[in-house]
Amino acid sequence: MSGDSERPSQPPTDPPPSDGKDRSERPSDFPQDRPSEWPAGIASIRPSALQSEAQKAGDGEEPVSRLPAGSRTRPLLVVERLSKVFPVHQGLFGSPQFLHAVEDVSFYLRRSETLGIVGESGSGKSTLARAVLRLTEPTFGRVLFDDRDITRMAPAELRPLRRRMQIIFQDPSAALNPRMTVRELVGEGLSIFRMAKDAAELDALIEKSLGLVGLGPETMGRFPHELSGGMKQRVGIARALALKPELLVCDEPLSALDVSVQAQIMNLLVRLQRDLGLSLLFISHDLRVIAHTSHRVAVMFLGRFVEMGPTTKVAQKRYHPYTRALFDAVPKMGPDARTRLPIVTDLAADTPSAIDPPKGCVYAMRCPSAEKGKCDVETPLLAEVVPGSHHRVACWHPEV
Amino acid sequence: MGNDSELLTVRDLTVKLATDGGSLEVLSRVGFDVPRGKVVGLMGESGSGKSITALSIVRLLPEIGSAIRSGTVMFDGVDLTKLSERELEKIRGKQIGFVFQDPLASLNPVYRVGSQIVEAIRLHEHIPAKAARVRAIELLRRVGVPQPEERVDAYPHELSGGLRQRVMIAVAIACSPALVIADEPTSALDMVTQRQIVLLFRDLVRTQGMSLLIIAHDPALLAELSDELVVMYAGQVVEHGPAKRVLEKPAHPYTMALLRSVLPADFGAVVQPRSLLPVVEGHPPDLRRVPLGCRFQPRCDSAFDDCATRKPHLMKLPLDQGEARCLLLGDKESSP
Repeated sequence: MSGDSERPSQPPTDPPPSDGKDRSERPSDFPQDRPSEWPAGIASIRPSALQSEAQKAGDGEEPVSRLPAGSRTRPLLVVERLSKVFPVHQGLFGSPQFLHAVEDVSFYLRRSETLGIVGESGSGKSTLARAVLRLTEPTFGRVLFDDRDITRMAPAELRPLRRRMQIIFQDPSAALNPRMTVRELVGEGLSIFRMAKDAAELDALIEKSLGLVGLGPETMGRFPHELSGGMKQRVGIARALALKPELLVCDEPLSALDVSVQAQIMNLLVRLQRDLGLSLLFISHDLRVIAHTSHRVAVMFLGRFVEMGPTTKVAQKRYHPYTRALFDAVPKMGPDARTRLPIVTDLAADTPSAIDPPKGCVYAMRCPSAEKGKCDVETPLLAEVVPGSHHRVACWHPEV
Repeated sequence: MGNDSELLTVRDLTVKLATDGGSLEVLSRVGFDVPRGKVVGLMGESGSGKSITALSIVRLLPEIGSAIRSGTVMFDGVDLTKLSERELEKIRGKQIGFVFQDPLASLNPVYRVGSQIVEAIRLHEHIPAKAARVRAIELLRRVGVPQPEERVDAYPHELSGGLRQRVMIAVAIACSPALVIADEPTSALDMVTQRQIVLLFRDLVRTQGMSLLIIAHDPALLAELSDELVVMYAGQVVEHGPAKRVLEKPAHPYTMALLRSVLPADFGAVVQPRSLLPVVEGHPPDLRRVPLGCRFQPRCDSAFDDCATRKPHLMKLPLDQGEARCLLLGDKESSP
């Protein structure tokens, strides 16, 4: 946990919360919000428990119990039981079905912290990122950004907060308007939020933000097609950083890049976070990337978190069979790379569908140790295996 | 080299492409071998010429403006560069199968996947449609598509990325080709699916006795499959040899740098989390202005004075461990 010492730590104080409400005592269930189509019996983790964990302790260190709103040590982002359901129409007269892209996800993100979310394609990682930023409306649950519930906020009220939460996308070629120069791309947000008083200051801000990502002022007049993939991704990051965000969501920022460029961009993000104290929500299917960049990691499968904990702990001990499969899938360079034998989950080509997801544990269908009558009936809770470890797993038979 | 054990022998392949700024030499005297029943991995950054090499082998480059200027591509005793387009068509798909990076772009969205496999079979073999369909189902089963009897009638968009890539592989192996060329076949897929495709390829090579030329930018992925590795940089082969040797004892500074930038799979044991990784700084050279001497010299940590002016040749490494293009290996004959 070397990175924790680098985070700004404040002396542990314990004043009452300024809004007078103790979120940790909120009821953990919101039946009134639940849509009627919701399958009965969804088990849940208690977000209240997570809330108090976020406020109490930094993964076992840094006791920072209930600090006033706005304090550096309160979590920047708290996500409670977030779900996103898309109606899917099949045929003209067929009754709509529901695709459960994100299902009952809760987590918190502290300031200057990176939470990595790892999972295969279709697991709902990107939808989760978009729902957190309200780029897509969550169906259920809520998102607190800096202690303010943004889920039901009116657009005008949300707008100033938008500046503080930015996103960078997987494919920089698709994310950058090909008709705009780098100057226009990076300056667009600055103009929208009127962050510069004149053209000279605007240029200075653009240049500064390009400098942060290692691009010189000579790139300002260039168009995206004149840049390499790595440089385009740098422009995407500069565009986000120009607005001085506190939260930066990185949605697969490396997958479209070469291994060597990946390392460059990863270094850049690690350095920026350290220097600017950014909070990162880092989404990737590559466990190596997540393990390298994130303080904590959450493993997602079919819309749900199946394991979550401090990266160092998860790297040492994988409780969930899917987490183990993910670790196993990472290509190894060692001498036995070519003879490494498949494990059971390597052979399952099919993922259960998020439309009408299976009853019980989402992973039961692929799980080598699934128990009939239990795993395919009851949904396991995301719960700590060892109390106080902040390492949680949603599994009926975690490997201990 | 060049004897019967080699299925494919590429020698001195030089390719030029027409661009706005004139003719651009994208491949400079590229050479390597693919032995029968073996897997050769082609590694390098984007723009290093990996894909152009793959396309040049079966002359799939755009007709206008591109040209193979020199070199030979011997496939099973035949020089593919000398064949007519008609003769080549009999080889493409039948003796050499292809798998591309993006299966969605390669499969026709308006045809069922079964009919696309049937098309591939009937293009080269005169068998009834019904028999071809039976074979398509068999092929889907072979590449690990669950419920092949139902999936044969699916459209590409109804399948996941992993299943689509399996369908592409089924098309590629439909006529039991001697060689399959796979260009970044897993880059669009997530890790779990990647691993499945790697295992599938490994199994196909073992059981069908086919050769595989696989292109990827992730050395760790190539390590899981390859018998031999070829490293390309700026249109040249800079190193090749047995995969084990290249990965464990790289001889070229570029290979070393590339391997260093791969994140370890053992999670934090070697590299401290959130530490800065060793990276190859800078960009590959603009092919319109390649450096006079060694092409990697501007980015090389161990470059010395001569590197800027003398062009290194591929130097044989001892004990039949391949070759590398670096002056540090004692290249005496290279011209100034």
